[in-house]
Amino acid sequence: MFDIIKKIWKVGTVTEKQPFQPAAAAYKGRIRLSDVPDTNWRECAAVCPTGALKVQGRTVTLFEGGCIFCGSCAEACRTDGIVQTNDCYMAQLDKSALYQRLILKEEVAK
Amino acid sequence: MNQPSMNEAELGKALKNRINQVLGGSLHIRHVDTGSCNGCDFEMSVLSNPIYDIARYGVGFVPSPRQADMLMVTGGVTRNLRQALEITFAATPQPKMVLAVGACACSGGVFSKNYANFGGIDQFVPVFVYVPGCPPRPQALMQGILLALDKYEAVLQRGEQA
Repeated sequence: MFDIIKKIWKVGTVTEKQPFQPAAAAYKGRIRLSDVPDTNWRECAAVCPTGALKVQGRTVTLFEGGCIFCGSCAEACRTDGIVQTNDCYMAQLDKSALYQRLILKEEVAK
Repeated sequence: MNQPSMNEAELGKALKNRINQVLGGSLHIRHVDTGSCNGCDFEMSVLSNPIYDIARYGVGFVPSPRQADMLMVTGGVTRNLRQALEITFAATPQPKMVLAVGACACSGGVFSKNYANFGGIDQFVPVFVYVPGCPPRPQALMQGILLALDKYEAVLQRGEQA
């Protein structure tokens, strides 16, 4: 019994207080797309394991509902066009709000 | 419909207030596994551990859909579990909320659509809130519940069947 009391005393309260600490900087969260020239969009889309990142003409589409946030696209990206943040709050009421669309100024290089 | 604050500081407090306001005290959740890899299920069970302790906001997991206000569905619907999902949905009293938890429940995720997997629960049940992530963090699940309460309130006010 003393062991239990000792443990309770030692460990204290573990419940996370409000506000929650933000996720660790290395946490793989929301992918952010931005129009950076000379980005290898097609290679980035090719490494996506679920086909969530698509390039059609000048439009780059990321479907967050299908994305598994593995970060392969951000790794394959040579510029800052695709950046992975540690933002985890992505819940949406509408499925159409899960799509991130980016219309590029220049044609995507073949 | 005003979006609740996404500020982390207000997430928990807002959740408690909204549950009191909308549901009059507590929110009961039934977990439905329709063929997930258990990643999302573990994140959901983490919600009730001492670290996140969702019980302090009046949220509890119940063993039967008949007692539940909300269904949390994880996993893209497999051929075998489609019937289970439909029966569970039918057994939940009106008005009911459905939360799609994880990439698989939202759209099929890594399994996508194939001979065994339908890909996405929204083909069978109306979904209130999509929570993407593989798996979503517990905090993200709490934000999802908070978002669902907003829509639920609107449904209650209209007296509509969800």
